This record gives sequence, C-alpha cells and structure tokens, in this order.
Amino acid sequence: MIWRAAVATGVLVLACGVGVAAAQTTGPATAPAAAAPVTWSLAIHGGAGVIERSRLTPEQDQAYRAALSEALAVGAAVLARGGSALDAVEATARLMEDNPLFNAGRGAAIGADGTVTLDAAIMDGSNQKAGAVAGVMTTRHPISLARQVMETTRHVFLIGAGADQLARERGLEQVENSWFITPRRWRMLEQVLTEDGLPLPPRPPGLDLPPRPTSSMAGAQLAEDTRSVESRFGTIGVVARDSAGRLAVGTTTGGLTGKRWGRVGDAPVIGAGTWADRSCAVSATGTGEYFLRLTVARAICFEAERPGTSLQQAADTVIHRDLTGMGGDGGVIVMNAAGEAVFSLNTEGMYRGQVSSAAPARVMIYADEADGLVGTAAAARPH
Amino acid sequence: MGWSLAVHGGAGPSKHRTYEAEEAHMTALLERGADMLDDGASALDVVTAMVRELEESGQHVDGKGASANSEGVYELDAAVMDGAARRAGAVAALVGFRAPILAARAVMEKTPHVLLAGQGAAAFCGRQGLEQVPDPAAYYTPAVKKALVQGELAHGTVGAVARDASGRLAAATSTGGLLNKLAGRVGDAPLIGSGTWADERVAVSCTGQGEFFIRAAVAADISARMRYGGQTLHAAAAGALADMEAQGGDGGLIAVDAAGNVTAPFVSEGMKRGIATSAGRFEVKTFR
Repeated sequence: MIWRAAVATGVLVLACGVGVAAAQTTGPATAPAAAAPVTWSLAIHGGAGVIERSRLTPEQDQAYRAALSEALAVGAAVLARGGSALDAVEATARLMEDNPLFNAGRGAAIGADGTVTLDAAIMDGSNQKAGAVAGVMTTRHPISLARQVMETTRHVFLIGAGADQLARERGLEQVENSWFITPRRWRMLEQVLTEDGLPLPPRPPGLDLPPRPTSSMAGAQLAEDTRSVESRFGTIGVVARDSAGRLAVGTTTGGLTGKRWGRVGDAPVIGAGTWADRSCAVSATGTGEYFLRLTVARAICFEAERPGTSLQQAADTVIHRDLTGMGGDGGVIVMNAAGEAVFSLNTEGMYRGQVSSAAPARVMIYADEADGLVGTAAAARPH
Repeated sequence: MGWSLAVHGGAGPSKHRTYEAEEAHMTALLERGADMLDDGASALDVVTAMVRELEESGQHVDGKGASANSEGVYELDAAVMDGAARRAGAVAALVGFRAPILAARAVMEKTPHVLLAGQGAAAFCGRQGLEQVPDPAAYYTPAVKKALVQGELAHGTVGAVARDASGRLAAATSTGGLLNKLAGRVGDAPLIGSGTWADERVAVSCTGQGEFFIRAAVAADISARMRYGGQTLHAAAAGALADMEAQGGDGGLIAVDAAGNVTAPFVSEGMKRGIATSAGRFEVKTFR
C-alpha cells in the first residue's frame, strides 16, 4: 500500500514463493496446490502457549482438533458460496466465541473481580475500516459488536458500558455475565488469585464446580494448567480472503485470568493484535503487552512489503526476532492477497488451522507439527 | 549532543478567532521544556511535564479543558511511550482523575500492562494515590463549548515529543473529548501505534479525527516508512498523514527523529504547535 513500487515487486516474489513453500512444507502428496489458483482462503487460531503433548490428554487433543475443524468448516462454507471475507470472519469467530474451549465468549478467562470482560476487533482490508470493543460484559458475540461499531457508527473503538449499550440498541443478543463463566475457568481463577495472594470473589450462583483435585499430582496438574499460556492469555482469531480478493480479520479474547484494573491487551488494538489492508491480514495471540509495544500485526505487514521477503519470513522476523528479543510469547496467523496463509509462533503450541479453495483443511496444535511452518532462517535477516 | 522538543495543542483551531493566549502559554511552556533538556532531563520526563502543563492549562480539549460526554461524564485518554526501552503506558475512558498523563505513566512504570480502561483504570489510579477530581462540574472548564452533533468526530488533543541530549526519544499524548461525545468512545491518543509512538528512530504524537488515525495506524506508519522505505522524517510524516487524509480524515502530528529533526505537518485549518531545539530554533504557531 505504501511503497507502491515495492509492493508490486513483492507480490511477484510472493506469487513465485507460494509454490516453493507449498512443496517444501506439504511434500509430494499435496504438490498440486501450486497449480490450482486460490480463490478463497481461511486461517484461524485459538490461542498460543505452553501446549505440550504431555499436557493434553488424547481426549483434549481430539476436542480441540474437532473444534478447529468445525470452525474452519463454517468459514469455508461462507467463502465457498461466494460470501465476503468479512462475513466468513464473523461467522467463524462467533462459533469459536461460543466454544468454551477457547478464551473468548463463553469459557473466556475470568477477571479478579469474578466477571468476564471481552475485547474484540474486526478489520476490512479492502477499505481499512475497523471496529473494536473492550470491556464488553453482556454481549454474547463481541465480534459482531465490533462489526456494528465499524459499520453503524463513525467510531472505531468503544469501551465498557457504552459498548454494551450500542449492542442493545442494535439488537445484538444480550446475556448475563455469568453465562460466559465455566467451571474450568473458575478453577483457574481461584488458582491464579491464590498464587497472587488476592481475595476470591463470590462465585456466580448456580456455577457447579468440579471437585477440587485431591491428589497432589492432580493439584500440580491444575497449577500447570493455570500457568499455561493457554489459560493466561488465549485468544481466537480469523483471517480470510474471499473470491473477490478482499482480506478481512477478526480477533476476540477474554484476556488474562485474574486480570485487574481494566487491563486491555493487544486483541482490540488495531495494528497490534489485529490488522488488515489490501495486501495483508494478521491476527495475533500471546502476551499482549509485548504485541502492543511492537505493533506486531502492522509490523508483519510492513515486513511483508519488503521486496524479496516471503510471507513466512515476514511473520518469523517479527515473532522470532523482535517478539522473542523483547521477551514476549505468542503467535500469529497471516494471510496475503493471494490467499497464502502462514503461522508463526515462539511457543510450544498454537491451536490453528487453515483451509482454502485449493487445499483441504488442516488443523495443528504443537509447534513442530508441520515442518517449515515456524522458525525459518528469516529470523537471521539483517535488521 | 543536542536536543529537540515539539508540543501541540490540537488541530481544531478555526480562523474565526486568534489564539494569542494559547500561544503565549505554549511559548512559556517550551522555554521550560528547553531548560529541562539543557539541564539533561530525559525525553520521557520532559514530554510528561509538557503534557501535564497542557492538561492543566484548560486551554485545550484535554485535562481541565475537557468536555463531558453524552452521559455527562468527563472521560479522558492518555498515553506515553519511552522509545529507548520501547515501554508504553496508556489509559482510556478514565474518569475522576486530574492528570491522565501521570496515570498513563503509572501504567507504564507500575504495572506489567500497557493499556488500562474504564472503571478498572480508575481503581488503579486510586490505588496509586493519583490526584482525584472531587467535583467535576466545578473543576472542568471546557476549552470548546460547542456540542458535537450526533456522529460528528471529536477533535482536540495535546501532545509532546522530544529527543534528549542522550539521544533518547519519547512521546506523550492526552485528550479529553468534546461535549456530547459517545460514552466509551476511544480515539487514537491512547492507542500505541495510532496516536502515540516512540522507538529508537522516531517519536510521534497525533491529533485530529482519531478514527482515521487508528485505521491508518499513522504513528506506526511513520516509523515504518523510515525503517523500511528509508524515508526522511519529513517525507514519512507527510506521507502517512496524506494516506490518512485520503481516507477522509483530518488532523496533524508532531514528530522528532533520532537525529533531532522535527516536523509538525497538519491537513486541518490549523494546529497549535511549538518547536524548540538546542540549535536555536524556537517557534510557536497556530496557522500556516
């Protein structure tokens, strides 16, 4: 967008790079990917963090993969029938918001005061319009509220009671705050607050908790759970490219377990956790403060405009060089105008998936699950 | 090494009036900032002090000069960023505290967080012992009396950027809001990369129709144009502002780079601004 000559060069390079990357990462079985042009494409994440094989039971592993597959199918259906990237992003994010496995909507992380406050952002790359909300407490689908901000107000960012008020005026479904709260997240909250020496808030009426772990081993497992990045800073995110070539992105999160003081992370901040323009879309998840200080999403799209830089290199440079260098953790999903999707993460895992008109759905959890997806030599690029 | 300093009081001025009082205040302010920098103060301390004085002056749409929103509440936003350490702190929709910029600085220095919003931010500020505004109706003296019509975009911010004698850069921005602003509306001022940014190459503070500055991530754009495009500070700032204007917005910004260059472009009718450098440049202007 900005250095138009450079962009044109970059697109050519990227177009050439797609086939090479596909051949390297997926092997001979899916080699035809280079031949079939992508008309639409979708990629999602459900949070990044300390997700090791030893931490997830086979049942949990399968549940996450099923949830990711289901979300991909919903978005793919929108795109396959010619729907807009924006519609696909919203539909996919809504499903993930409702799934208690992810830290967004129902099952989101709970704050120190015992309430859930949700943040979300959506951005239309075709015109750089954006909408964002923070501190949402009663609106079931924050992503849809962010879209209302974008499409029905002249504003970009609404916070707190004003945001929920807009949702009511626009007829978006309202729920009690306790609807978002699940027993699993409440246990995590108890653990975090106890560790931090903070008082426990009153439990919402009707919330039945699973029995406290009795064995020290099970207790240790819960402690591990709460320290895991997944519980501390999960997020859901979607990027899509539609058959008209438009890019869009959406991100929703409950933020940190035990968060206080109205903390807002990177997810709703345009340029930090969420960004889309005509050539690039990014949704991020991780230690939000570092993503804010680096404007990670915007930075990746700037990197991708450098002549000779592949999308993967652009993402890896910001995640493995800049983010890691500053001490931050997390990952991103990135898509370019050609519909090429890449992931980059510096954590043990990130719940993620991708599907396009040219390739079947793939879902992944662990960092090492697909060769070449992370840690390419791009991190060594000169500054 | 020399130092550079720039301040702004918003891009809302209209040629229907003059701004002698504001310019006189800004002149005294710049002289104080220049003294601080001469004495070796850090860029971070100087931009914080400059914005604090602008908040307190009541002459601009921030701090004492803020207006109540559509719910009758004074909600303020502010951000500060230390380019040398790439640290940042910000508050959004803060109610009940006298110095939003000190709240932003406390977020940066006393918490692991970057952005605190709403009631939670107020709870944090109370705990930090920051000065409260017990009687908003008595304290605030809105700098602009005109009410926003429904849907009109708010306009009015103050900011400061500096490069100190050690070569460190910092930026600070604070904003109030105009009468009838939608409750909970947050503009670009507290958003790192949109209205406020500082890194090792440039410090930026923006003012104008914040929604457009967010959509174009103007402050981050300037840094990227310099980093990736090899552009000068002036070209980068003008280009980023032109892209924002092309989307339909207006406003302006101040920016300083690592070499001490200063720029203060705007695409509105005027922008209250002042620039001072150790090389002897000293100017305070509102219009072109």
